Amino acid sequence: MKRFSEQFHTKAKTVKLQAFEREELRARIVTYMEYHPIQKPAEASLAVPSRVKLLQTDAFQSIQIPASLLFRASAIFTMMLLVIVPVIAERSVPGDSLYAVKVQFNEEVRGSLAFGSYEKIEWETERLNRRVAEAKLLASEGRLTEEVEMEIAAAVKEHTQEVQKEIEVLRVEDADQATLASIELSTTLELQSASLQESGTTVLATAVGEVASENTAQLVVDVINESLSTQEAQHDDGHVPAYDKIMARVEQNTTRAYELVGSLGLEQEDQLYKDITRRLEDVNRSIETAKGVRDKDETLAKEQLLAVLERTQKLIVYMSDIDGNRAIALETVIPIILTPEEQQSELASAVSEIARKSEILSLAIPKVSVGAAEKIAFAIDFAAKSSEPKADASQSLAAAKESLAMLDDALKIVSSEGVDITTTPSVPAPVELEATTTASTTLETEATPAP
Amino acid sequence: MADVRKTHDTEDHEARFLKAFDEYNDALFRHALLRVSNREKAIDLVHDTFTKVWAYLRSGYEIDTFRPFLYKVLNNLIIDEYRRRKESSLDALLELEGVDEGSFEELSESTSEALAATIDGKKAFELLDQMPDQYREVIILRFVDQLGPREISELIEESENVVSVRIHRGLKMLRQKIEALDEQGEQNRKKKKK
Repeated sequence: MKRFSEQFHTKAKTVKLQAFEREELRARIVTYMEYHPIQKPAEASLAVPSRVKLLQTDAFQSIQIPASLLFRASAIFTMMLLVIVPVIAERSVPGDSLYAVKVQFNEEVRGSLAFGSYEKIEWETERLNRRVAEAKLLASEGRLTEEVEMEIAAAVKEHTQEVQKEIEVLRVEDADQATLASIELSTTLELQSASLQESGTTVLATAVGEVASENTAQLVVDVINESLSTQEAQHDDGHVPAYDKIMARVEQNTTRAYELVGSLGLEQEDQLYKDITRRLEDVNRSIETAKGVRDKDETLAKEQLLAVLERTQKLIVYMSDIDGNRAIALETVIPIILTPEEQQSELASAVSEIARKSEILSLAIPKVSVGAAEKIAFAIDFAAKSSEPKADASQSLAAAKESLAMLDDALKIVSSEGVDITTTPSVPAPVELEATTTASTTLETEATPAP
Repeated sequence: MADVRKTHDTEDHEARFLKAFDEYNDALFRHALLRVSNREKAIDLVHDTFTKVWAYLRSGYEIDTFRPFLYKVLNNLIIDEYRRRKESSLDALLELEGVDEGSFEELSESTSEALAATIDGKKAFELLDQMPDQYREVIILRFVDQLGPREISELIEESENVVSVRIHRGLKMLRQKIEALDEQGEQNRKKKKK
């Protein structure tokens, strides 16, 4: 055995790699090692034994991601992109990172969903209101820079032009609707301009004011055209389409205004709530009046209805950004229309006030200088003349107010002369007569000044 | 022979691996060459063996003793190589399929030794490539690589008995071949004399 084994082994030993072969092989293996270095212990621990058994040598290791997981992840991502981001963006204001999404994605998408000129007009007007609301919000937070203001002003102009363009398109189809839309636009601009001035955004207020006045100028032309076309229509068949259309729009606006009041969630006790409901009552009353007038004078009825339309439009715009507009007194934008009864009581109190003040003044005449006495005498005379009854209650009221103002001036002259009028009989200091916000408060003011 | 411990650091791995290369490259090459009878192919097989072992190390495994592991990998590669070739050796394999348990004589180490003693080692070596691979494999492992029957049985995944039987029969086969050659040589000489 030994012999065989030794012989065999010795013979086998002659079989070996030649030196260059060995060097080459070693170099190949060392290169391989360099290209596939051993991982750091931390990485190595990640190696999965099952994969290790395959003796994988690839430089690129595949990581298996289940298709379902991938699908779910991409679905969630898309969801994020298409739903959550726009929702968050909706609350952004200029200067926020998502503002561009709001203006250039959300609003554009919604705008592209608006078919027909009328819908487009509504949407562009809404965008206009949004821009103004943003400006007011920024102003209230003190974040409104001039740059942003200019930006918003440009946007307002753009939206206005867009609306005007659509109005022109609409005019071809329906001149009446176009006119109504035009009125709505100008009232919107008017209100926004006023509210912006109130919130101290001067640049923007001026810009919107300019747009508003431009549009008003345009409006005049519109109204003329409209009345012309209506007249032609009347000539044709005696039918007046405009009245029904205005009525329809007024009703639509009123409904929306009521909806808005409901959605505001104001307390019944809130003064603002009372103010708004009062305006809505006014609107209803005006509509009834217009209906009554229609049989006698259609043109007058239309005029009245258009006024109502403006009021409702303002009310809607006011309410749609209630937080921004709270600063502005509703009275300055939409004054109260008094009911006939209120007019009567106001008139009565005004007349009694005139009488009282005239009495005080006539008592004061002897105590003042000649020049002042003349002025006072003129004022008393004027008041006496103007208190003569007029055909229209509202006209009487206007005259009475004018007289009161005159008398108040006279009273100021008296006090400047150094005459003490407080000691004179009917004591109470001059009560400023102003249109009060609700019927109940009117009654209160009426009760107090009685001598 | 392989373990999932991670006690050695990277440099240690490299050093041990290269040491194993220097130590075993000749032996592995010899084994491969005797099995495939192609020098270049044998070098490639050795190369592949080392790269595979390296990849195994990279995956975070430990190798305590390289020798058996290297042989195991090389052996698998050689089997793959045979499969690829699908040479006539397949017939030889089929022929030898289902080897019986062998007689007592064949199972005994001492009888193998006795048998081997009657064989001329040098001549036997020359005749290796004429043998079916199944026998050649064990003969090489036993007498060239000088592995014990137990190691061989672990390597080729056969029982020790099968290994012993194969060695015994392999040797017999070699002796027969040598005898045949000798006879032929004698006849040739006689012819020349005539």
